[in-house]
Amino acid sequence: MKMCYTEKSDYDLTVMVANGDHDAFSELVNRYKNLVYSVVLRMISDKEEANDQAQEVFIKLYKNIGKYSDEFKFSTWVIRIATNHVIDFRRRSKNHIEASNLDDMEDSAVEYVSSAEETYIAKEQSKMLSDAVENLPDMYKLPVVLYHQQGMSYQEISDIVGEPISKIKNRLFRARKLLKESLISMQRGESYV
Amino acid sequence: MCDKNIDLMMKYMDGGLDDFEKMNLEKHIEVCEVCAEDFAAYSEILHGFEKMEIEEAPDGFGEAVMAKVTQLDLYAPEKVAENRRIKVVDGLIFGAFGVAAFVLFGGGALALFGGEILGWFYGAGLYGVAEFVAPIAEVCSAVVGTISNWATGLGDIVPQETMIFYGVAFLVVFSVLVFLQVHMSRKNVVVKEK
Repeated sequence: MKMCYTEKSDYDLTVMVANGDHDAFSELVNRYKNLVYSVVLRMISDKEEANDQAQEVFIKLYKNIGKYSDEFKFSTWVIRIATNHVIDFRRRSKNHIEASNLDDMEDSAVEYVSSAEETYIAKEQSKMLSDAVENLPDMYKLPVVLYHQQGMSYQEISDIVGEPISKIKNRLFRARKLLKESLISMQRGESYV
Repeated sequence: MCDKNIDLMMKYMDGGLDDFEKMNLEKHIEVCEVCAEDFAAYSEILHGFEKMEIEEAPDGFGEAVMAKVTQLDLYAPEKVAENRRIKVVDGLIFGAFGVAAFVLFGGGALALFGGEILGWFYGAGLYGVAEFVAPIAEVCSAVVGTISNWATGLGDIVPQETMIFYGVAFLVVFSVLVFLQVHMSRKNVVVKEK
């Protein structure tokens, strides 16, 4: 009799994976591939690289599946691994100049690198917002994407980032202000450098 | 720059404005050009995210992941058994080290400073502990005495330098073996049993 994986909880599936059941992992991949891919893509902004790195995230999940405990939601654990993986990937990447450590970034100046050409071409609101989000430093980008795009709560983001809720609220506050300033300057046709 | 209503705007972004707060914000926006522009931008961000499509993983994403997973196959029964075996061996090695260290240092301390240790126990009123430790201290003292006699006897036959050389060589080889065992076991993924 074929087992119905779709009815199993995330935790049950992780236990099954740890017992050698590949189909259980396939179900987890199906459940979370879009979430992982979209978060990785938001942080990397290169579709091909995001595809490779999102796959690596799932390999990491597979290798560490026994470490998952149902203390947190599986999605929280997945995003935590994904964000840490992307940060590590950037650290390893020789060409990546941007500060990759969240704490380092907190101290670093907020920098917009939107090109003038992009600013003028990107007239559509969604494109402008997308660009503005893309240009945010990770420490601000991550909470704003998780909160507004993925609909996660402050608590969930706090669990993912490993920082207190008060800090997450501050970062979200700052991120929104930066996005607002970016949008306003884009609408005025200014270049924020 | 008008930051008077920034908290209300953030509350709006969280979707938590009540009717009264909404009315206050609207009233302010009517008369404050800066806040009107800010509110329009915040509103655009909020609705922009709502409209922003969640990027879907490319076609073949799941298959590519599963191909790699199948190749790894970390949780095959034989690999799980191997990991378990490594954990047991690790446990035995560390356990043996622990017991050896306890016997050597504890026994040595009792043999050399048994009198002082027992005196401390009696002084602290721990008579039960002292009575328990006293015969052990006696045995330790006897063992250390015997070993000391053997060493003195052996010292007459084997030169001291040779004994030191073999002693150090034994410790080095033993440490290398333990290091290799630990290193090899760490290269394997340890499966946490649920």
